[in-house]
Amino acid sequence: MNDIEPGKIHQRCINGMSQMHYFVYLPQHRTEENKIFYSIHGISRNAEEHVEGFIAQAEKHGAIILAPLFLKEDYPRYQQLGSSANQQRADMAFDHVLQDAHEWLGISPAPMHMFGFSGGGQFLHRYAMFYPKRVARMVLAAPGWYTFPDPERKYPYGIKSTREWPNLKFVLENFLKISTLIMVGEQDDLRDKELNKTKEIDSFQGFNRIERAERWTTAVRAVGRSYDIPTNIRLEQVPNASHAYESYTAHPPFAEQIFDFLFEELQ
Amino acid sequence: MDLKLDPLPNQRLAQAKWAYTTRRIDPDQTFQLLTGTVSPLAGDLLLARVEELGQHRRLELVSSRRATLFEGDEIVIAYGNRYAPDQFEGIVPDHLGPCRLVAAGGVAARLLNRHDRIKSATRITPLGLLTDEEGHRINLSRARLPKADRIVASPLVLVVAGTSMNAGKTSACANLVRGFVRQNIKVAAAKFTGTGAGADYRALVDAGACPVFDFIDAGYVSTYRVNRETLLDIVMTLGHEMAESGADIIIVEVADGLLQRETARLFATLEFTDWIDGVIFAANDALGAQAGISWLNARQLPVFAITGVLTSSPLAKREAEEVCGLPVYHTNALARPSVSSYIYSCLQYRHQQRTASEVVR
Repeated sequence: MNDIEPGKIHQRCINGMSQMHYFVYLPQHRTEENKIFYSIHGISRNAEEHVEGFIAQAEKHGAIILAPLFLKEDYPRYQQLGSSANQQRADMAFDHVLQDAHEWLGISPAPMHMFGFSGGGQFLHRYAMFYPKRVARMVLAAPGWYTFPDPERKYPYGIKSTREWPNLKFVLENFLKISTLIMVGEQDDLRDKELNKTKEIDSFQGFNRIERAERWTTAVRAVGRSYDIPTNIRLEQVPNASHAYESYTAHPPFAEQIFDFLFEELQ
Repeated sequence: MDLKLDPLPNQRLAQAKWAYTTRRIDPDQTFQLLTGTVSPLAGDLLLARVEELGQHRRLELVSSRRATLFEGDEIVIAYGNRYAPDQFEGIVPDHLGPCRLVAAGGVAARLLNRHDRIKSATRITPLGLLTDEEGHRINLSRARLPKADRIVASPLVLVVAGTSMNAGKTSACANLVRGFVRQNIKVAAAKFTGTGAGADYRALVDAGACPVFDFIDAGYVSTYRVNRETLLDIVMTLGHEMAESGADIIIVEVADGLLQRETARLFATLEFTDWIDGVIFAANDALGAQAGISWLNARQLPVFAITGVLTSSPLAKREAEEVCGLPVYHTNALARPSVSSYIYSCLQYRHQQRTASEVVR
């Protein structure tokens, strides 16, 4: 890692089944711990902007930032991890990024401390459900809708297998142990054009991102009680934030809260 | 004592309708008829004549076929106590005088109470108690399974309880059995409390559980007004049989609501509660679910999901999820492998945690 200049954002492009880009920031002063902050963008695909916005916190915590970029043409449904089990799998592309980062930077990725905004929050909680042992803590900011830990509903609404997603088997007892913070803007109760408004989602998840976050939180806690596993999941509203990314970052403690939550057990 | 024993021709008994509650008694043995001043006991078999049809116009036979009753029919049934908030309360009389048919499965009792919307119980006249050749009464306890004093093997144990009768417990049990069987999981099932009736038993058989038992197999026609020792006998006898059957999971239905005295007593029996890995609660509405979950939580019982009649309403389902903080599964969904596989893994996890903590203690 010695030849990689700290204090700068680096863009990396790797070739696999399809091209994958990601951004990396190395802090000027790294702490001894292997702290890596993973940030997953929303559908505006502003991965670099994510990195820029978290530099101050990365320096404060001595953490590396890693932000993959899921291009629309390659991963149009990255939020749901792909179009089907065999097509455009964003989770596998992300794994490719992790492998490359391991070889390039010498970092051990798991267990990961992760943040996802909007569509990135969707990707993140689904990734955590698929690979619960890889994720230590996560912050989901304003996902539009969720995969509920509900075996009565088909994936991606719930965890039941479908023709497109056959043989799904989620190890919920591991997923329930992931510490999770959900952040939603207190004004993010609008039914904007990006919000998925299908009857399927409206009817059981709620009419806006606040209701949907509340119901998902309730559902995860309920499954935790079912397994008798104490869950660490909490929901916080972000003052004055709507759904625009800038309205969240305009709230001064936003980035600090995310880092404090993700790395609190390492401090 | 004006007791009298008369021979009972097999032909006469063959023409009589034998109720479900008599299913463990061999009908081909030689019987006599005991009459006179005698106090029947719960579980004693009697030959009775139907005098006037009321609520029960059909009798459930040993085969579970519901045979039409006619006035003048002779029937073989058992004396027993009956607790059914939607129908009757009845107790075993202290004489062989006229009484009532208080359950379609074949229970004779003195009627104490009935629901406003239920017709009067069918009137019957006991013709005498059935005895063997030596004159000993035929009681269900004579044909029971051997008593057991402990349960050795430890498959997973899932209990279904509910707010009241008709909350959806039996449907839940049958669907759970089906869901597990579809995954090639071996299921044993039993109904521990209630009044002898074939519908519940047959539903478990039809769903694919094997073996299936109810309290009749432990020698009891019903569990209303039984003491703790009797409940423990049922738990141990049926629990032992199911555990030794090689089943992967045992499903137990507990009748009526949690406030019913024998149900509450069963849930206060440590030998029972120590044995179980999880409870699914069936409710008619969200408020009932909340009360039931609170009741179970207060007793530190491992309730882990809700189901029942309320799940027909998506709004009631959501309400129950919110107020109870537990997953709510549609009754029919319990038969789907996608749901039952998670229920199974949840029980396995709880079982492992429980047995691990027992080892540590």
